[in-house]
Amino acid sequence: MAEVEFRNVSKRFGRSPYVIRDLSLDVDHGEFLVLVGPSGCGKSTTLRMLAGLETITDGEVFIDGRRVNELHPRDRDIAMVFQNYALYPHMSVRQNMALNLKVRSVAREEIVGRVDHAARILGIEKLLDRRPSELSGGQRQRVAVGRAIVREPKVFLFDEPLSNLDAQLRVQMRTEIGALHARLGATMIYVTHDQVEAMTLGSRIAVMLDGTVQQVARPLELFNEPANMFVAGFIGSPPMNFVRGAIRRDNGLSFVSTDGAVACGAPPALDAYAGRDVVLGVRPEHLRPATPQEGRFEAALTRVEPLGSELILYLDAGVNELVCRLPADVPLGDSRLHLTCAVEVLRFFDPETERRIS
Amino acid sequence: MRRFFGVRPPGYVLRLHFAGILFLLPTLLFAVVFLIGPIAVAVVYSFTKFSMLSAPRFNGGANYLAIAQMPAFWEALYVTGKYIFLRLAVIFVIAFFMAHIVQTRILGAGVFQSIYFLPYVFPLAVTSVVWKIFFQARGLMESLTDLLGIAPISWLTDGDWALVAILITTVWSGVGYYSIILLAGLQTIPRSVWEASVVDGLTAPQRFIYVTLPMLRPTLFYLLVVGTVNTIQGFDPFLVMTDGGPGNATEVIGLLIFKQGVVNFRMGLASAMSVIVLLIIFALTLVQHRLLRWKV
Amino acid sequence: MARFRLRISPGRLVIFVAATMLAAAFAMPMLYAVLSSIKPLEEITKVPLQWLPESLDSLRLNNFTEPLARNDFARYLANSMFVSGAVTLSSVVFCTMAGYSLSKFSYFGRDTFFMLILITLMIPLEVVFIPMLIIVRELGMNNSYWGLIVPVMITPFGVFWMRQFIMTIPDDYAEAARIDGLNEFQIFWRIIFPMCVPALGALAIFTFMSNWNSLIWPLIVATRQDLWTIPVGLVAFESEFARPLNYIFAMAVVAVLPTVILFAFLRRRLLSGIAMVGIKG
Repeated sequence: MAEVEFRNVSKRFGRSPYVIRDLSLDVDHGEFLVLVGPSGCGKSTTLRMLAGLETITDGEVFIDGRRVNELHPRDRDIAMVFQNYALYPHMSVRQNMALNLKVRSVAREEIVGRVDHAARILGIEKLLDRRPSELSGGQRQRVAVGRAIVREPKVFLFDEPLSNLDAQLRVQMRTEIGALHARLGATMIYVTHDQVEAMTLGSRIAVMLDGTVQQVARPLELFNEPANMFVAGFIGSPPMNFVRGAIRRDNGLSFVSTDGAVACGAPPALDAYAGRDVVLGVRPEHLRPATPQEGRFEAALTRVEPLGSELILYLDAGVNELVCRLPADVPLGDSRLHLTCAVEVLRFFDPETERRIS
Repeated sequence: MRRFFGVRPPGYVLRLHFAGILFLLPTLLFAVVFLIGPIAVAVVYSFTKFSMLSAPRFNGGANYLAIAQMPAFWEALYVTGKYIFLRLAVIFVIAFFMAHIVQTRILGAGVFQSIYFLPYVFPLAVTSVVWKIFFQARGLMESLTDLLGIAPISWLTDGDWALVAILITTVWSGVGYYSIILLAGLQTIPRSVWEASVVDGLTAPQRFIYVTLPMLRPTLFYLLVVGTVNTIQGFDPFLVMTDGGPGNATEVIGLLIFKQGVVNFRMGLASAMSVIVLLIIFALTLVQHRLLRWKV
Repeated sequence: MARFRLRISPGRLVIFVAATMLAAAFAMPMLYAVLSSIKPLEEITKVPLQWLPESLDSLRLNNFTEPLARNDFARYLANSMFVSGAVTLSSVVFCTMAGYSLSKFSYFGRDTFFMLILITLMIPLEVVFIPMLIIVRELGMNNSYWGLIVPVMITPFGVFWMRQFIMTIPDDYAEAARIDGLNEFQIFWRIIFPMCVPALGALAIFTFMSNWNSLIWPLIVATRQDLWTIPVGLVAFESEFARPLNYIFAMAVVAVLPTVILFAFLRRRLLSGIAMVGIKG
């Protein structure tokens, strides 16, 4: 049974336009679901409705089979880690972690036991008597997570918990949260705008845009089988190359870009689109240099970004700029390159609906 | 409530907002009784004859009519206006200098700042009592004028000098406060603007006129309005040092209201005067609003 | 102010000399009053004026003890302490509650009420003291500690100040506490109120000072002598017995002592508080 369920949920603030439209989503027990999308897509609002910090305009939300629309946040059996951690500055770490249990009149010994246990899991035993202001960013982050752990909630909620950390700490804490999920096996819902966090942490990812879920899928499925152009462009870095063109049927199906500079074969599934406009999507890492004979098309090199282990190439192919990602040891001969890629990795989208053609 | 949520919010949210109203409740009650109340009472009683000994009796606009024909009231307004203008003018000049001292960070700037500010923390009534003694015959001021070879001045009993004596007292008492605010205003001017004006070849006086003053405008307006209100309400020295005299050379509006209401028990008349002063303050605030478009 | 630049130029020298002269002029009356408070009466009124007591023997500490004991100044002092303390305490609690309500909750009429507070911000008690007296009499609070405390126990400025401060506290703290299971009163008392301490400090100093210093309201609301505060007592004493200057100076020193001590210990917070109000309006 789903641990968390959103059923046709909508949200608007007062009379302003809807920020969430008819959202339906299931999260299974023990799952790590990531809500990802650009800012303003409604991912935080979705999480806050689940927590009870925003009212639900329309639809229903269930936690463990119980409708929670009318429940006070404290009765929903959830814990939340906030972006700025929201650690109470006048309380010690121990008091911060124990407050919830204390106001729920949990026995004193049990409070101590649960706080110590959580502190051990996170490696913050030595910090328990300090104030939040005496902690580093990473330590505060751990305490915020610890405060959630001691409650042993049904669902953990994370609202962009890593965005206040510097890049190096972010990577480290990301790993720790992943490990924590593996260890606790609890249901977690995690909001982020960072697609790398989403891909590395999520057992499933829901990509949101303008208050609607674009696609819910496992990370690799999202990467390989994006439902539409937005998901294709949002997941992956550098983003997928899009080339406008049309499907032609000469000898077999082929794709030719509008300006004719890019041409390649097309899979038989596109038969129905013969003679119609489509958008070709190809990921930068799928493009590779080739000899003029086997090359599918030719492009002029405009800029190279060496990143050490790899190269990012910016290429001019007629009106389209293409980005290509190559291992650093690939020799680049000329300023004009012949490029190719496997037909299987090409993705085609309907230019009207922006949905993927499969 | 529907306006905020579109649909009826769940009970716990309503209770939450109700808690919010409960937090405001003491202040709400207080405001109705002790903030709005006096204004309403002033307006209502300004149309009555009331001495506190008998019940108020409605007398139409008689109080306002009486005020219009009362030279003492107009004189009091004039004296108040003169006093405010002189006090703020002197304060601005001295406060600017004080702020400048601290800003240029000369040796001992912090000590200077403390000394200039210290009189502000004294009760104005106590300051007035002490300065009254200074200004009396054979007091501190007379010793100083002797030292300079000036004939003794009858500070508090001479119609021309009484206001000057009070000015000296209240400038001494308040100027430090204004210099702190001016300093804060000066420090909001970015350093780069000063440097740019130096590069542009402005002399110090030019810099003051073309850069400092315009950029200080918000602070100056704030000081002007706050200074006016503070000066109107701080009539302790007039009560203590001169009691409006000699004659009514130093009878400011606050003191006049005090005398009419508390000494002569003409509460209705005093209320009418309060209403007029309130209107003046209100107009001043409005002007300030317009000039600055205060953001809350 | 932390670093002084020891650089001598003619311009700076002129400023320094002028600043010193100004400081001397400002300090002189204070110094004279303090010195007079320990001198016998004959030495104070002596012409020409002399600054220091003639000898150690002529020091008069009974300038302080006499009026404190015999002329009720001890009582005035206690009244001032009690009234200023009570007003400060209630102001701190109620202004914070109101500021919290006005910044973190949404309900019908909230913004209207805040506008009202802003408008009354500009109305000084000293202008409306007559109608205020009428109200206080009607409530039967004149000539009592209630009358001294209740009409000034919440200031619009305090509400405004605390609202502005609490606006800067992210909503997350209250929300985290809500999820943690605290009720709204606990959230205020255990989370928000302790977080307001920096702003509360400044508010408490201002409130205490302005009440310690106030004359007009205590003067008209309390006609009974046993309710007088220090400024009222001193003004009355001076107008009644104009000549015991030694006592007047001594009691003036006593009257300013608490606020001077506050200033000495909290100088930085007090000055930055004033500056902040000035800049933000």
